[in-house]
Amino acid sequence: MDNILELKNINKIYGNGEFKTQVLYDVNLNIEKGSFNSIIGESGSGKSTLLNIIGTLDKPTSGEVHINNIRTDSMKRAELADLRNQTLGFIFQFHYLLPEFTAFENILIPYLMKNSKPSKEIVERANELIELVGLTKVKNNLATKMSGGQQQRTAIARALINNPAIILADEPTGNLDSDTTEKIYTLLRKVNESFGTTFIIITHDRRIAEKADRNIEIKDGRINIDILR
Amino acid sequence: MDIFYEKFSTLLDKEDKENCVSFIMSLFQNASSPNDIVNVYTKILARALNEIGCSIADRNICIWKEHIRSSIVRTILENAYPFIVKIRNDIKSTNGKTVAVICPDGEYHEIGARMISDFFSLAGFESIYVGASTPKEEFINALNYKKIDIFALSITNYYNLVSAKKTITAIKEKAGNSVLIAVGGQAFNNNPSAVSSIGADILLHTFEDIWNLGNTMKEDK
Ligand SMILES: Nc1ncnc2c1ncn2[C@@H]1O[C@H](COP(=O)(O)OP(=O)(O)OP(=O)(O)O)[C@@H](O)[C@H]1O
Ligand SMILES: [Mg+2]
Repeated sequence: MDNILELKNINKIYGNGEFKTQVLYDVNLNIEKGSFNSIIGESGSGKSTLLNIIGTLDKPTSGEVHINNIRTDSMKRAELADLRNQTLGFIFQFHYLLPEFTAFENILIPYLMKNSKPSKEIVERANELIELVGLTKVKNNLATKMSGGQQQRTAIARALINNPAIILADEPTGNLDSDTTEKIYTLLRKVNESFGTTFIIITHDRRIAEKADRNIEIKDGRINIDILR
Repeated sequence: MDIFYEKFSTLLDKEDKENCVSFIMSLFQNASSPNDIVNVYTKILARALNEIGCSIADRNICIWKEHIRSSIVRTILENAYPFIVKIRNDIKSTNGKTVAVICPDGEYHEIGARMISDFFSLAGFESIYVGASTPKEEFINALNYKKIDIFALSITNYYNLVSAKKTITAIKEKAGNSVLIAVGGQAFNNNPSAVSSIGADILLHTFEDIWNLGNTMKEDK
């Protein structure tokens, strides 16, 4: 199988001088295209640090990151911004929706970062995604006029608008009840199956982790266990 | 065995608990060696649980039906115990070693573990079936009150390899290499290398594996 992501000997050290702390140690990891992966591990083990490095939001102290066989850790800022916008979708525990915009408008944001006016196609796609995540009824609500789960589904649709090859999610269901968690999981799986999107999801939620194709546990900055369903 | 399997799976599919239990009891009554019991477990009971599927008409009650079948098999396993003891005593092969059979924290699939526990008995061990989803602290504390030679961990859901590793690390910290850690279960099908990466000493697949382990442990007694 093709790897969409390859990490080679990733080390991450925060701070400098006396206050240096090493957070990741020689992490090597390949992720297959189209796979559904979960990253688990105790608080402080280095999961978010790793995901931020994968997502090019942060740089490793040493080591290489390859996305679609292109090395990203040595890319220039502008190139990185393009790569993120086109290839990567992000879902966080706190969704950072723009409060003065509607759900529909929020979903279009990644597209509007690059283009001045939404095309007919992209409006159609946004509507399809709204349908997919079950927000048709509230699509014209302001972000602040939606429930937590609805806001989270808006954030998922937003992550999908540019049809990214990889979705990176950091505790996407961290603050949701178990029924909503189940629904969000089913939704992410549906996206994975219908678009072949690769997922890397950090989660503390057993119900998500045990249903992933692969679980990678991080412990003290190292891969402690790496198992397949 | 196939003809017995056909009969049993038909009864089980019909959820006919009474006849399921009495049919298997009559097979146990005719068992004369450990292998006879093992064959009933693997070639009839386990096979039926694995192979009876879910028809399209029943698709909304699959789990319900699966749980009923499991519960019938559990009743059979409870009733098997006197036969296990009888056959074990007939062959008088106790090896003086104690095994605790456990499912790690989070693992609720216990039928495999119960069967394995009986296999250990048949192979001459003193076998203690501890149960589903046992917290790791409990294993460790158990070492204070009872001498245990083997911990056998049964793991079905692959995600539980994570808690299994924590458990094994904790046992080894407390007991060093004085206890043997054996593992088995479907979680290893796609993860053969997990046996060593979670720190286990040996993978046990079949009754023969357990029987052979019994022989080697008898020798070094
Ligand atoms: N910007 C930073 N500067 C210094 N140390 C940091 C920084 N960010 C994270 N750390 C440290 O790195 C370690 C790993 O943090 P990280 O956020 O990756 O953990 P995590 O596994 O995501 O934890 P959680 O489950 O709590 O989100 C922690 O000890 C944290 O204190
Ligand atoms: Mg984190």
